Amino acid sequence: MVRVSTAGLLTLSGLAGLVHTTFAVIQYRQLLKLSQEEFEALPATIVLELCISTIVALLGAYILAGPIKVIVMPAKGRNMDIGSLRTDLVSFNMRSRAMPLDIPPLQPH
Amino acid sequence: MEIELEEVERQLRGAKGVPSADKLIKYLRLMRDLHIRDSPTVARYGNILLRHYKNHLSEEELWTVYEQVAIAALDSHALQFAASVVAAINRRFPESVRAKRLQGMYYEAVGDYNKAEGVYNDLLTQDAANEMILKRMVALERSRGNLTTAIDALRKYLDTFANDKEGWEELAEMYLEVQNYRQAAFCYEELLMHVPGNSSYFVRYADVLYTIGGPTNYKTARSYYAKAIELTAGGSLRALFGVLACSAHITDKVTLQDARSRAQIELPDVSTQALLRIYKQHAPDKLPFVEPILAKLLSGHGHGL
Repeated sequence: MVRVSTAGLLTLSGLAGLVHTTFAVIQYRQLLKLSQEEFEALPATIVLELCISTIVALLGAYILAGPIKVIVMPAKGRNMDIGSLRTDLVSFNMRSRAMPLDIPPLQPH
Repeated sequence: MEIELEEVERQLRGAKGVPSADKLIKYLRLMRDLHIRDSPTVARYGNILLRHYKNHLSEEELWTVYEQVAIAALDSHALQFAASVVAAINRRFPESVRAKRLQGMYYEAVGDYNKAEGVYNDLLTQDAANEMILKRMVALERSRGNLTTAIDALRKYLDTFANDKEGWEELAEMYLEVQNYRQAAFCYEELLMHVPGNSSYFVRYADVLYTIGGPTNYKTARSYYAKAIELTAGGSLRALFGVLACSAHITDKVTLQDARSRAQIELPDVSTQALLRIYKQHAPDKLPFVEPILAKLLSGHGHGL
């Protein structure tokens, strides 16, 4: 047996209500076509059902998400070296002039 | 991301023989995203990637890696290797301003500043407001040693492009080099406005305030260090030391009235405990050196430091 929480029930019923309003509106418009009346506005009952289903679904989803979790920061000091390479403004007149790295050149292919 | 980077660095260092392609790609990507200046390592790993694993990269990432490796090679003064990488990029993108900029950077690294200036002036005649080239002119002046000219040029650039975070960081560093601390503090204030969540800006700003000195500045610096500690969940060692150093200089008598003054009194002790804990965990052999310093800072209150 699947255990459904109250929040889950709320969400499901809210969504079911929304689906039901869709069908109700389709039915209403078909009825209007049959009686050849102009479509002016939705009947108040359908609008009320729409509002209530939306609120119920939102409430259920909010409760279903659970309590707000604290932002977990990794316990590590943000390394002060981050951001030290400013590529647009980097100057090469530094100590590497005295200690050049020895890498053979790439062959073109 | 830093933790990922440390992990992949450890794996690469421990790898026997030639490291695997995906680890190299991941390392280079993380270094690109975090903008860490470890050029010899990037140049060496990039060299392996470009020599053996070129086909593992998509076209876009390949040329981004080429550019990254070129700059790292220039930074480590591996000039022949850098020349070959820059030549490869220029062969692929003959009309690109970015490629020509790399050519100019190569001349800068070699020491031929006049030739580099020629390249940049040519590019500026085509487009006088090109941010990349304007910034290269600033870097050129700095390489030549004309710090005041470089500062003026960068200020002029930032008047137009005030959103450039890199520019403000560089200007702050240049002001610190000429010991103009108040202007450096202004630059860090701009940076704090741009990125309020970056703990290193808080620490650097507090460092500058502490350097300028004076009772108000010590108090302000202490609060900025405290914010950095909060942002890093107690991990920033510089901020912890900073709090102790500032508290040592603040000699006001604070009465035990409210929670805030109680926090001020407890702050040095709590920072000391946190520091000792971190040292015990990560560097226990340095503990005998650190304990007397911390004791002196706690009791010193202005003497000695």
